[in-house]
Amino acid sequence: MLDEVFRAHWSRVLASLVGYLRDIELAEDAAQEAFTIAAERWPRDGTPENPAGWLIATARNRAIDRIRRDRLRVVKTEQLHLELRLQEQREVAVDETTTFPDERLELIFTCCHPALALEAQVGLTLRALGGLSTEEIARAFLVPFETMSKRLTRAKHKIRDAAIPFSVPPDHVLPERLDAVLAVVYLIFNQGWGDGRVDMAAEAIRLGRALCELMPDDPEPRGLLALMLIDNARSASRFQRGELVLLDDQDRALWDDERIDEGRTLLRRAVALGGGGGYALQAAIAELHLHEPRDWEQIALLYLRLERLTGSPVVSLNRAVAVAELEGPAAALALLDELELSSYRYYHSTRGELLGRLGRLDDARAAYTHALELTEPGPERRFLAGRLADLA
Amino acid sequence: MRYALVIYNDSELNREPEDADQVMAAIEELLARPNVTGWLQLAGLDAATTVRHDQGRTLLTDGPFIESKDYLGGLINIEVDDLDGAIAIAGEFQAVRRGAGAIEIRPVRGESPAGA
Repeated sequence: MLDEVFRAHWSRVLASLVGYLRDIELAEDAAQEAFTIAAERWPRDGTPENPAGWLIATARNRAIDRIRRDRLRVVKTEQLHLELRLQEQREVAVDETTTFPDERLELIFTCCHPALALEAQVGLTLRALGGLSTEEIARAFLVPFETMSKRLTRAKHKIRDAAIPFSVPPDHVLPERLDAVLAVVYLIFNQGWGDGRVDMAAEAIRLGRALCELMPDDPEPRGLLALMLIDNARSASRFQRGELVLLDDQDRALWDDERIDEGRTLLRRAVALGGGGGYALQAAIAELHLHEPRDWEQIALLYLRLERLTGSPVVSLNRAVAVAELEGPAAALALLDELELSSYRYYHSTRGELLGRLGRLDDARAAYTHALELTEPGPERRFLAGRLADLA
Repeated sequence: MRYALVIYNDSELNREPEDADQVMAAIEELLARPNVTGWLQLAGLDAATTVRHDQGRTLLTDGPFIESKDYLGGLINIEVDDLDGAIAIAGEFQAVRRGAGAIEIRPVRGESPAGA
């Protein structure tokens, strides 16, 4: 029960405390203390009517006590700064009936500030917004606990010492800062880090939902959430007895229809809000892939728009796959020849596939062999080895 | 919040005199902003002398402490609300310098104003 309480309220409570204390470390300590007190009292006295308010008020009061008691912890200028703030607010007593504004969006923009290293942004976001423990994040990154702990501490100190703002960026920088936030969430979704004990895709979807709630008029968070939901809906069908299954061979009964419906609704909403950004486009493409037969013309068109938007050769590679369906493998191969992607394994596996269809078996074998060299052992490698053997 | 903008110049960059004057004029305009509380421009590396101390003796070398393509060209002190404020100003300086070199943003420690 308390685990659920923690998950439900951690980010709200922490955000409010960071807004008040302007120091993520102090805020984390205070929030943790409040949750510990709740774990002791709530089962005995009952859950308060406004749990988040109770936690924030308790944590704030504890933080004030702690700062007064333990002044040495805070260096001089920050102590002055904090005491000033606290003095200003002394008259305003807070309790669980106080309405605290939701400051999670400010916290997200702080954690994903581009002045922090990308891996620190990801770690902080998982800690502050996702409520994951340092140990869980370390496992997800496959690094020792100490390494992750140092990384997070360093990032928190930089936020404090360099005065990275705790605010939603002004309009003229908002689009690029929002891009950075969405990139962190998508990275968490996509990377497939870790030993599987923490479901990173589920974490990313939770973050995506929070962003949609906090930015009700913005299309791109909806595009991203739609993309993640539609993609994740097929996760159960991607592997059969540990082996990779291609989309055409996937068992549709295993698809999560609820997630797909939710993704479609979000995608429509993103389009209605004027969304033509990268995530909305990718979500639209993912949605088109669900239909049978697939509308390759539409898919190729959307990839072309995405290609113009991002300039990414990986997108061009995907467009070439659609072009192969429309105009044949030779046209697709011509597109591939213009790409500089020789270290990308899907470039070579796609080439192998197209060359195979053209009957150029020796070239196809060479391309698959190249792809195999770039692929870690596992289902994907076994799949490629199977394709190579089929060419014989 | 006080920051120092640490200006690095690119030693391989050779501007036409006319160009250099234009850039300098644009930089001076930015230095006149109320957010800029002080600055100092350093002479070129040819004029640098490096001092070390070893076993009771002062050792001198002709030239800078660190030889590299990018060298320290100057410091600008600014007073802004937060890092985003500092990034905005540093971005403007880099834009009028047309991307030459780089600017490092460093928060300034302590309360006393750095006399620059």
